[in-house]
Amino acid sequence: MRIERVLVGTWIGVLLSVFSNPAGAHHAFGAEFDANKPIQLEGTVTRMEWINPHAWIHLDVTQPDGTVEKWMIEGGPPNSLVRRGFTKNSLVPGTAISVDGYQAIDGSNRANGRDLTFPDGTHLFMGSSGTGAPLDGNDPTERR
Amino acid sequence: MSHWYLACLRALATMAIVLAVASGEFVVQAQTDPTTETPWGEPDLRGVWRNDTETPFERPPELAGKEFYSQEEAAALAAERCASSGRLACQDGRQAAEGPSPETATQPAGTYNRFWQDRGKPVRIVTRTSMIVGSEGRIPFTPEMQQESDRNAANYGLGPFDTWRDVELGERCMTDGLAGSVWTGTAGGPQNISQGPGWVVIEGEQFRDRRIVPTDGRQHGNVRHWLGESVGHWENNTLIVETKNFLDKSNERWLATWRIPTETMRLVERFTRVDDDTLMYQLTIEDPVKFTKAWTVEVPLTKLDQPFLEYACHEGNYGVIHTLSGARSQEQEAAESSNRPR
Repeated sequence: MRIERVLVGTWIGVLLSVFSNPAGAHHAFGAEFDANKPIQLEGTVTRMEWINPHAWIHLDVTQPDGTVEKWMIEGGPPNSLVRRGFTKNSLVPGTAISVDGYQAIDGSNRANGRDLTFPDGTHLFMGSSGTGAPLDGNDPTERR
Repeated sequence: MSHWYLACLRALATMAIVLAVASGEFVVQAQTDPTTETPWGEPDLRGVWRNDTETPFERPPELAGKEFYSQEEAAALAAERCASSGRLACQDGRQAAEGPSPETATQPAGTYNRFWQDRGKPVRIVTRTSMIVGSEGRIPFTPEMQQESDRNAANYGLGPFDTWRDVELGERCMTDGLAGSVWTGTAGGPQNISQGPGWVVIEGEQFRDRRIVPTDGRQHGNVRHWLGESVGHWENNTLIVETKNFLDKSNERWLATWRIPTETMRLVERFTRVDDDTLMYQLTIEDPVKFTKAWTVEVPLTKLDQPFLEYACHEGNYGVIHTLSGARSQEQEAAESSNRPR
């Protein structure tokens, strides 16, 4: 179909134009998080911090030796979360989650949340930082 | 045609009008009239508006010379962008938000950058191939400013971050500048427009930058501001706002080079209510320091049926601290690596 051909021909350029324009971001991914430090955490939510310009999830992560590490996971701005249907009951303390993300450059227990998975397999996308987050092949819409 | 037949037609027409008024149909028509006026007789622009389009700011190179899609192409593109952007509205209904997971696994992974914007529900179909109008569809930078813009874009987020002043103004929760503020920002950059006799107030949700625009015929003064000085007037149903008297803040770090205010920058904005849910926005930018000619952006803003929310950016802006601590950590790591015996 002709339209499909047009779409294929324009989609890459349009995507790059949208993603390469940092006009809507709050801060750059690369300034705060390390694309070379991908992490996966499994833990229990202790607190959801509804603050601007980014919400933060506080997580207890139990290590193999039984000790507990405390982590902070960065999310999107509260206004965007609310407009997407997120409420104060969406991530209540005690909720078990798995987080895929990237650790802070300074090596502390903070991370940019990429995907968040519940025990039943459903996903929640944290969508925190602005442009510059790494393309790692997980997203079928990614274009390099 | 007999007098009897015409009399019957008149009677039926009169009855239809009476029934329409009684059912409120005429009232509805008055509410959807694009020329709706405020009680004091000015066009009514009041409400919360935001950019629900996915139109790129600049035209992609492969669309050079093509200013518009056909309606068919635009609709197909909008559907594809919607599906790939992870918008809830593109899925089968909005889930109840009380459960542990307001979203499902149907979204593609890695949509964090799109999530930040979450512009619309659904994507507004626009036939323009770029917000910038005209055959070129790109910012007409001078050669020097094009180089600076390219350099700034390449270094975005990479530093060096030696002091807090190396972090750009938006990341410091200050401002991203007036130019472009109407269609950018969190969640499509909602703008709250309020009016009173002789005044229009335009407030952006992100940063809470606001302008109190007089429309009473006064002229610009001579005091310079970060956001310039805005003065408005009405031409038919269009609010025209001219902004100049910007402070030159080119010594600061900004999100986008074209938005940097200089003393020579002049903006002319046009706000036109084209229907109940649409405010057509046009911005013409002049600045001989940065551009070879004046250029214009056009984007329809959609009425947002949600409240204007607080955005207290300084509340928990750990970003500046984390950026600086990350830079120091990298320096220390580099120093230790260079001191390590080989």
